[in-house]
Amino acid sequence: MTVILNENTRVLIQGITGGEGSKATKQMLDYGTKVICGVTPGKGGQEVEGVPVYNSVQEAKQAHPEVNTSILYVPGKFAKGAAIEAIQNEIETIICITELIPILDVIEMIEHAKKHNSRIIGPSTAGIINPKLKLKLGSIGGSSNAQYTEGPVGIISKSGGMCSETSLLLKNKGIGVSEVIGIGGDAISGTDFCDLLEKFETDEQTKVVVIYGEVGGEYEQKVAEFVKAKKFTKPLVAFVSGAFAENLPNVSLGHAGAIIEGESGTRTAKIKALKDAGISVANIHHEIVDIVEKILNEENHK
Amino acid sequence: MNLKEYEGKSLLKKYDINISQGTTISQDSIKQSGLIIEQFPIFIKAQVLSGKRKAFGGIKIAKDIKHATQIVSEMFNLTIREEEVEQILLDNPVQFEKEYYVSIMIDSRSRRPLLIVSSEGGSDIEEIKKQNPTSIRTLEINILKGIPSGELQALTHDFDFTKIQFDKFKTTIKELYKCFIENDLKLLEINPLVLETNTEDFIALDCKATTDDNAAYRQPIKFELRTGLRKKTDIEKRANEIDKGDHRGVAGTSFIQFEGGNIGVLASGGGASVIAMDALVSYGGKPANFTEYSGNPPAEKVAKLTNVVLDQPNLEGLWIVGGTANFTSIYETLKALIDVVIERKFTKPIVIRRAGPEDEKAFEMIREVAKKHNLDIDLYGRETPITLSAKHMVDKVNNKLKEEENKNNRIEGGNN
Repeated sequence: MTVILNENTRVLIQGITGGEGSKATKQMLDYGTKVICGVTPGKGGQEVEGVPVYNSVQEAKQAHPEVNTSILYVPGKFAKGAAIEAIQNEIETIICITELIPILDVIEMIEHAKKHNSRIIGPSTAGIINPKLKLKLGSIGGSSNAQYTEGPVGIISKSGGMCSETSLLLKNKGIGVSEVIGIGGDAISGTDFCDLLEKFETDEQTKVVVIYGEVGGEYEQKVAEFVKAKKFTKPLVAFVSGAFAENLPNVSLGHAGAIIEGESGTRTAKIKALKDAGISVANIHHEIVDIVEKILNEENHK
Repeated sequence: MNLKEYEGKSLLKKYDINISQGTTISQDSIKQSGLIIEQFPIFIKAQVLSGKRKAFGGIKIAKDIKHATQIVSEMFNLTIREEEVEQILLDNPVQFEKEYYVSIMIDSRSRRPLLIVSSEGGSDIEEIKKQNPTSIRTLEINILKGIPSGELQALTHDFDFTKIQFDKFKTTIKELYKCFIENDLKLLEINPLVLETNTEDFIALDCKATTDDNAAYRQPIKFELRTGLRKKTDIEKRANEIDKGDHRGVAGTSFIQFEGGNIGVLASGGGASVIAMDALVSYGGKPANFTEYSGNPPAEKVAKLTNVVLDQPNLEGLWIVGGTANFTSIYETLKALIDVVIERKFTKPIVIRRAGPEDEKAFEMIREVAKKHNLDIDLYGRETPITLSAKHMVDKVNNKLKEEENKNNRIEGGNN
């Protein structure tokens, strides 16, 4: 079983003619992703990097019925409409790169997706990368992708930049990754850690999973419950950033984005829940790699 | 953005929701037209964002104008958890039978708006949770459907409402939900919502609301911006100025100055800057500031930010740290930065950890200028974790301080 990406992944890019969209299209094609078509209303008939552009998802889908994944590179105010259009045209997976979408729009997008059995990843995700399949969705890894090498570690991260940094530290120790997924750091994510842990559980390549959490929301606590309920049984290493901000009065970190909902959104509460569930927690970011290395050594000696 | 009580109530007014009758005053309004109060007693409520204002003297009751004048003048001089009182709400009392708690918030677990009601309003929700947890009822709302009346009835079945009371309660809840949705709120909390004795109307005595910054573009009402409770320092204000009117990249918009810190920080990248700070603090380092630049800002913005960081007093070190950049030229940004360091003759310990396009060229340039200008710089690239460079920074500063201390001791010893 694979995680999100597989050999049948066929990609449509909504907002393909924009600066970010066209840059990402090139990077994805260069890496090996099958980008089939793009959509920008009013720009049908054009091409971006040799990829045909259509006016609507419906038109694109008629011409390329094999398309099953859409990546959103549209401005925040159009993201809801774009996502709903994709969902109504039976796109199974929607990668929402767009940041700063009104939260009620995000909630509505997710409600539509639920109704039509589609999956939204993001908003504010950096994307997904799988070095074995040579596939990536979004601009994750930039133009070099060198920090992503094939291996046994799955990564799920609220921070896009830290997908790269964590993979780099692993690579420096000779450890590669199976699939690396950015879920975005907003208060609401269409897909959270647990949704993906369920997938990693049955992925044969993945021997250990790293989750990178941030303050806000309760998705880290959900992981603790998930592991306690034995729904994820592989070794898991967790890290939650934001320690320095906890003792400061009235500081909110722009990047954390999320509102801290009372006690449950704090780092302390998250760490406690994770530790109580028996999950290894790295206190400083680079310790993630030491713990992963130790786990893999033990696995090899089994 | 968090709204003050009177701002929240101004939103409620547009709906079929009863609120207590009140007037908002400021020091300016008193200067212009004096303090006018027609009925006593009157509640005098400081308009601050802190939830526990009552405990800090932010809510008082006055029985006559003399009493009110004294309370108002004292309250304008009050600082409630570092927040100054800029407005006061003069609110008429309401006779009520019972207090309820109502809120609507965004629930990250269900990914839906969540309605929370309790028949035991008045104290804050954490307190209600402790004292009377069974009185708290929650309802996940499907945004495509709204709040079904049947579900609301089931939710409040043992609240002992008469038919008329339930209908009024239902109207209030539905209007609150409408207000929540139409104003793009992330939180709307009415505590207490009271049942008035004579009319059996439900009346909102307080209101806490949070607006969604991402939706501000489509909201007609613009509330005065606020970024936190603490007043900004001059250094912070100067840092915040850098991004104004220049949208190329970000530099200095998030700048927090810390008291008693001695390591200046220039961090790059959202996630990276947070783990960098976490590491610095956990190794015992004392940051003078937090700031972040990213998105390939032009050289002049980086230079301005460097100047602001170095203008902080008592610096013993400078830490330039970031993740592995995808697009940002490490050479361009480090060049801008190091030029300022040279110009200002900053010879205290500097630790740099950066990686990305043109990093080798950048490092070569820095090695050269460090030698030429006698700068104390340690350089680290992609082989060194961001977080370990924090340890190098802390050790370097501590060693230097120890060295100086020893030197001073020797000098003192020599004098004796």
